[in-house]
Amino acid sequence: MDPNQTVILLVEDDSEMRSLLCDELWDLGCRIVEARDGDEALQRISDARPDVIVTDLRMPAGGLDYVARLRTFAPNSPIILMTAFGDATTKAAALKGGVVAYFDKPVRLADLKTAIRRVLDGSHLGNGQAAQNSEET
Amino acid sequence: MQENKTSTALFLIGSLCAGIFILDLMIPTGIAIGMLYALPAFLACRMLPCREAVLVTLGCTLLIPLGAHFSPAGGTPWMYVTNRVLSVMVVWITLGLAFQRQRAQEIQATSENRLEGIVQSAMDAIISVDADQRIVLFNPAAERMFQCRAEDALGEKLDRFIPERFRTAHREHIRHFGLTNVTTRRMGQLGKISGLRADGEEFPLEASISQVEIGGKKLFSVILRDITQRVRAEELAAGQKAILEMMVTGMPLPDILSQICLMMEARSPGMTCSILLLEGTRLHLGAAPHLPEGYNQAIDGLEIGSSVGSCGTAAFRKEPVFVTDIPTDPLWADYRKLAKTYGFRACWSTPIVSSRERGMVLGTFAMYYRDSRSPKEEDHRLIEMATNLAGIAIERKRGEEALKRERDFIAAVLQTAGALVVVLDTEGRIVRFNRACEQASGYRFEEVKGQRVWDFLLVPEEMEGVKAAFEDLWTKGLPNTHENFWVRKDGERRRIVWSNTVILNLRGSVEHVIATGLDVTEVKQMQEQLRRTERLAELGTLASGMAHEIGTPMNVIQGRAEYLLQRTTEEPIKKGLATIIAQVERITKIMNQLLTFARRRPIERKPMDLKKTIADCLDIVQERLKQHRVEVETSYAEPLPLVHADPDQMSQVLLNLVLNAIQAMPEGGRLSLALEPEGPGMKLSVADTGSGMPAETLNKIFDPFFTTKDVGAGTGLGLTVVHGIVEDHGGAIHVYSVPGRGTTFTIHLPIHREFSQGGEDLPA
Repeated sequence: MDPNQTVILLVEDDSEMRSLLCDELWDLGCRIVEARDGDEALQRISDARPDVIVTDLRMPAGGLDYVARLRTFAPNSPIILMTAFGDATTKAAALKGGVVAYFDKPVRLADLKTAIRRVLDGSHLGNGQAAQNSEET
Repeated sequence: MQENKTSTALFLIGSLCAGIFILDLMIPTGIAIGMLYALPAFLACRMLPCREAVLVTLGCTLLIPLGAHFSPAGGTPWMYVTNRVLSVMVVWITLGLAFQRQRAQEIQATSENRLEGIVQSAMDAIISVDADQRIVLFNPAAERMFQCRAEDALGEKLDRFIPERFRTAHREHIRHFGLTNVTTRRMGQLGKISGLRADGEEFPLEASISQVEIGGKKLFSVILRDITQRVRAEELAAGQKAILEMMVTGMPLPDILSQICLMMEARSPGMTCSILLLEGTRLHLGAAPHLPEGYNQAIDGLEIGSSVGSCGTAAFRKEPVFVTDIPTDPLWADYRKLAKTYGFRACWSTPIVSSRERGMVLGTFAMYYRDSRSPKEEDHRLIEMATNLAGIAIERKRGEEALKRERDFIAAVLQTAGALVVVLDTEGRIVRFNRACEQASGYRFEEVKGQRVWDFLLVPEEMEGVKAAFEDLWTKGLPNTHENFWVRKDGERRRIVWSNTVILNLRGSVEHVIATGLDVTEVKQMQEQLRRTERLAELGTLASGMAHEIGTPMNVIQGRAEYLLQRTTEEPIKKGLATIIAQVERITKIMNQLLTFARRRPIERKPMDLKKTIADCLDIVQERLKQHRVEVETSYAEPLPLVHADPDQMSQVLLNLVLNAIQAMPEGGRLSLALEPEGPGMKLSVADTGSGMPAETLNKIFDPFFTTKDVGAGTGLGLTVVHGIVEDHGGAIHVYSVPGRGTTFTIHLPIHREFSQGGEDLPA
């Protein structure tokens, strides 16, 4: 395990979706850490600080509370949120809670990948993250 | 007496016979003394009864030969026999002739007696006049009729008994009659002859005249009958008939009562009548054509009581009160002065009673006289007749009034009833059409009277059903119900629920059908709206619940397809994958719209200017309008109040409607947008001149997923969203469309805050 390799934390309760995302994100050349629900996601954060968290919203131990907890445990990890047919209220709340990108499912994978790339490039990241990224690279 | 007379005659005749016999004895037989016996035979016949006369003659017959036997001889035996035989023959012939003559005299006497008897005892007056018209016969009936004794009449001219104005005509008549050969004729065929009594009273009579010629002299006999009573009775009957006719033809009650008074007054000169009507315990003037106005005013409103003149007392006692002398009668104590002022001495009053309700007094009939007087038999009859007639008239009028009140009441109920009431005759023609019907149909009763409902009020597809329901009523006469549309005069349809029943005539067959209906158009619309709202709410809940479950699998499908698409170079596979992606996107689009609807955020109302919203919207679609060659026409009422609504959502509504309108006019057309205050709110209308929609489509356009657009072109949720937003605003949306002519959407929105009903979001 290369400690310098970029880590993507992928949190998704649906195994097919998770599998799809793993396959799709593989070519980004990052290490993908998977989690099946909110609790598992928090465990994985303590194992390895992810460079970006791509997470579902509605899943066991999920929801906006979970997003808030993620922010607490990994204040420097940008969060990309996906949710099935999310509504405007959720979107607004999520963005207010520190989420960098928000996608309604079904999400175009190309769009998602673009967003992840941008986050990893640091062009749209907060200062902490950008510094961290530059250190790691 | 008779005996004595007979005996005397017998003695005389006997003596005569004896004398003749003695003479015969003294004269020789040759001389025909026997002939003398004809004298006693004749006398016997005249003076004695028939049997005795025959016996006397027989005695004479015996004496003739006996005398011859004892007479001294003289002449030849032949002579002697001959004169004795001749004597016998003469005696018998004398007897026979005498008898015959006597019989003839007797017959004549009997006949004369009989005629005299008839003339004397005849009920009719018989007067005979000679050619000079001097009276030669005047029977007792004539004496009574003309109040003139026969002695005074005989020898007088007939003119004395004829009213002066008829005298010449009468003389002419008799003279003319004398020239004809007619023996008997009725006089004055029309019964218009009058007689003149000794006291100067004229009276109607009926007469016939006959003529005989005796000894070259003409004798005219007239037979007269006093028809005063009959004429009076006829006049009364005619008067009664005239009054009944007045009642039947619906003349006003005062006129009828006046006529009754006049008829009675004509019967009795110097008498004045009044009819008072009892209302509660007071008497009011019904009619008194000849009573002085001041008197009428004085007694109008008289309270009845036990001693209130004649009328007040009669009405109170419910029995006739005949006051024959007012100045002395205690009943008139309080009114004596009044009576004196107007000169009344007698007043007979009889209550007019109801023929229907026992003991109910309708009024009084009174007769006033200026002299003290008691009623006679004839008066009682007249009073009875007058009260009967007045009773009928009053009751009839009251009945009519009650009937009219009842009719007016029913008509008023019918008119003010909220229900539609249509009455049809056996041909299905309208005979009644109340105000509710006029309001529901837009037609006035005058326009539809006599028309058949199926000729103009029904929609063609329901015609048969309605006719069947009515056919059922005619044939079975049983109440039924049905529901159908009425097409208003302006073309709008109203849904009406009918409850039908029939009116039977006296023969038990159906005469009228009464249909009572309720206009349920609004109720139905509300029900429909409620149903739609409920369905939408359910749909929203369902959609929200499903969204998460569907989102991920769709994402997997789409993502996998994209993933594979990037890793294949085979065209057919690429094409297939592209289709999968496109279809998932289509589902996504539908889901998103549904969720937009289901998760509408609570409306945020603020005062807003819809004119600006319209302008913004038209800006957005400007390109498309040009592309479709659609002209835009806007009309805004001035001044235009602000509405209380959510500007974003209003934009969404307007955009939806405008885009729909553009799509309905692929060949171009005119888009009209209008704003005007209506009632407590604002009316926004969006009209196109496009293809329009049939009624079945109109009913469904707000339903979710209903679309007339090509598959994939529309989600079928646009108007559902519009509808939802308008409803959230407490507004209403209506659509009118004529296929081929265009469609108009009208939206009513509240102006003031008080009218808004809060923006409760649908459950998400």
